[in-house]
Amino acid sequence: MKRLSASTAALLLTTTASAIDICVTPNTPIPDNGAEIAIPIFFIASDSENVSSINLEIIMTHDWVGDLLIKLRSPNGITITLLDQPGIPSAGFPGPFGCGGQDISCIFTDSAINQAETICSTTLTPVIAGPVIPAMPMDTFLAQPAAGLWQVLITDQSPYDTGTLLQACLSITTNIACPADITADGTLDFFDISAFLTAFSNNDPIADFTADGSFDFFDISAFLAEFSAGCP
Amino acid sequence: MRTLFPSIFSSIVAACILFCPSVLGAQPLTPVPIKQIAAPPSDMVSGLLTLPDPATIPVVSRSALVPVKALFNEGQWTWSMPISVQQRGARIALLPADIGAWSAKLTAPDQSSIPARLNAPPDKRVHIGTDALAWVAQDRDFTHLSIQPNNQGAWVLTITSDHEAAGFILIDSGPEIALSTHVTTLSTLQNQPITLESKFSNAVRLTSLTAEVTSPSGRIMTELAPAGASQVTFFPDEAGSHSVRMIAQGIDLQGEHIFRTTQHLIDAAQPAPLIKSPTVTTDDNHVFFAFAPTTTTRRTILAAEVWGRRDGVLTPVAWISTIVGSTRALTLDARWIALAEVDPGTLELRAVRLHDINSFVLLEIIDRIPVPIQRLTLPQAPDSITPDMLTGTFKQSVPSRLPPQITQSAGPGHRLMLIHGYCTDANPYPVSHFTGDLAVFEDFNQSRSHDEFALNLLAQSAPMKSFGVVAHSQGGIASLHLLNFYWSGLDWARGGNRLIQTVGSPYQGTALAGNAAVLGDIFGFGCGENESLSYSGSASWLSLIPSAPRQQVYYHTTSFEDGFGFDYCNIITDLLLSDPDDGVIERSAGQLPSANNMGHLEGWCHTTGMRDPAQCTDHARNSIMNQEAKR
Repeated sequence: MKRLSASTAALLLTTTASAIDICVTPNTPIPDNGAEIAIPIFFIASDSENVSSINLEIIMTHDWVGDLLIKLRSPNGITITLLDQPGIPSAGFPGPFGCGGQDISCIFTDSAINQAETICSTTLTPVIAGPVIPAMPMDTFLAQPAAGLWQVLITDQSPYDTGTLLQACLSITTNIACPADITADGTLDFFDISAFLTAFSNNDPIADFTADGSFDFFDISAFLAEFSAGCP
Repeated sequence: MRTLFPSIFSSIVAACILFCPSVLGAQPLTPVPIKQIAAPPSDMVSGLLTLPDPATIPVVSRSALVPVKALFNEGQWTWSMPISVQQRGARIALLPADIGAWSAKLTAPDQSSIPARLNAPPDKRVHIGTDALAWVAQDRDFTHLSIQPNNQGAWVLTITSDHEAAGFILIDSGPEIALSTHVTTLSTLQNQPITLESKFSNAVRLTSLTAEVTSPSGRIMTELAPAGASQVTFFPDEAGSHSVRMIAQGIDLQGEHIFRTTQHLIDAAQPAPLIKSPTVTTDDNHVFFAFAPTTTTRRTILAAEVWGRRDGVLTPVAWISTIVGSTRALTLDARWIALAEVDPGTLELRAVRLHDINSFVLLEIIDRIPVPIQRLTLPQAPDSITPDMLTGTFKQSVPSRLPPQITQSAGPGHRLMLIHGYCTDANPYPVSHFTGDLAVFEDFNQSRSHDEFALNLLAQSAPMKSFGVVAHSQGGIASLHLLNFYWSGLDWARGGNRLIQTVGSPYQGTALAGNAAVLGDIFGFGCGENESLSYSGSASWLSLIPSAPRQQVYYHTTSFEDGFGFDYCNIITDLLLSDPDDGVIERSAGQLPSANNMGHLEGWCHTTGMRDPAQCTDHARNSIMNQEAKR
């Protein structure tokens, strides 16, 4: 996995199935009990590249992580919650204010073992550390366009404690979009035609190339046009 | 500060808040997060978590508390008592039930008469003063008489009244001889005989021993020991607090008759269903010991030692404990087994204990239960003990009845909470001595067990994200109880160096608990009895507090300025406590082993109204505590 700064990432064209990290180091204070801040991360890719895997590393200081609401928004506006005031409602944490531990240095990834919402302890700093499962699955972004402006959205929802976002690293692996490659093996051949026809016969949505909810001549025509055009 | 005697109205209101079923009914059971406590083998082998031999925690008295039983004669009620005064003099406190009920006089060996009242003509042989009596009728001053040294001989105290006025005489005279009395078991249960054993110091021969027992309903039982015997047994058929006055007479080597009493507060706890042998289950990281459940919501404290064999040698693994409700189970983090390197197939529980959560009376103890686990995949042994091995994680709670929320002491944030002690009418700390975000705990004029007190702290600290503590007297003990057994804002405290700072906390109990119980039978209580502050209750409680939470406590003790003369904080309680004391607790009983002893200062007493300034008003110490506090 390559890790790049935001400036060098801008020069890069992504390739199929390679993971790219784009890191920003904003050192942005989080307003106490205040407005949401949005940290932009520009992910440079071709329009045909979709997300095949994604995770987000966050490194930040905060005196009371139970105050924090952290979200990730994709270029096409899909937003998921990564951390939602961990410990609220109480899962046995002392007091009603959620996890009172300090600092975060974690990677939100669906493949983690520990839940970000419940990993809290009274003794560890950073209290949310290592790979953690976000509140909502990162898989939400799969097959969505990778290119464009991603945003890390952070809100401090309770008074008295503050923190600073030190670093956010967005790691995305893309697949190059090629609708006619039904078998998703990177080549266009007889098997894609066969697979299309099978899907068409079964009214599989993958065969609805016109995206009109019906399966008809226009879908076949659109598929053949894509097939003829080839893939990038 | 001095506790105000509550008006009848406020007493009724306070009593109703505490006991009226309708109010209690409004307090639903709330799941309160509890810790799965564990302690390392070092705590086991040091004896820190071992129940003490009751003989090592006696009530020691060099005085006698004598009931006044006047006889009607020639138009008035009269009572008199001969007092054999030695070279060191004598101290006498007059404790009538009704203010101004008694007229008293001392008759000197030369038959001269000295009226025992403040405005009496001065007599250099006797000093007359007044003082309050901590914890009992604190709004009143009682007359005390000090027969000065070198006035030895046969004195007589005479009390007269125009009605049959009850009360007590507390007297310290004669040679320096102590009576020590202890209960022979810490398992004092309803419908089980309770035995007390007494002995004199200085080779004084015990000639007579009597126990005067007042049951919770006020029934008085008088039990006599067989001639020459040192034990008296009574049978409590009621559950609850029994006040016991042990009356001992003896003869010293010079043939002098000795008369001493000790006063006790003994809880005859309602027995709990037996815990029996546990069912043992495991997951990847834990071993669970599930004992027989109960059908009640009564909360108790369960504890056990875990042992196993390493290379055939019996080896301590860990001590485990928790508060339990109807489900009674203990959890052992399997890393303790890995750390001790014992064979899981040889595990056994020892000293499996069940305690009452308020009086800490031992309800049941099982010496040994084998709990072999034949197939257990152990986790990797950690390099050292991790914090979560000592407390468990936030997963379990026990339904508890939080105290009525009389006040909510502060807003949110991270605060330093100033906590008062037992039965007081105000915060003893000058708020101006502290800076930053503060909270002032308020539960005035109440008697709470340590657990009730801790739950009240939990309730009042609910608006805060975290807090540290500067506490006085029982407030310090309740804070440690909260830290040990429950998850609270204490666990999130940050900044500073000290989590719990205390002044004048009787970690090992106070003799006043028993004396207040006996005297309260006459005077009534402004606040109520408190078994958790007795020596035996405190010893049982301490045996449930591992070293790790104790190390979060920074404690201070004080006592009167000790000069060349007869010194004290409160002349009446000085008759009941062993020097040095602060008027309520003895320096020795203020010690908390394994905690941080921040020193002992003379010249400071427990509360205001005593001879030296109140210990919580020490600006220098308060400034340091403020500076060092976590919040």
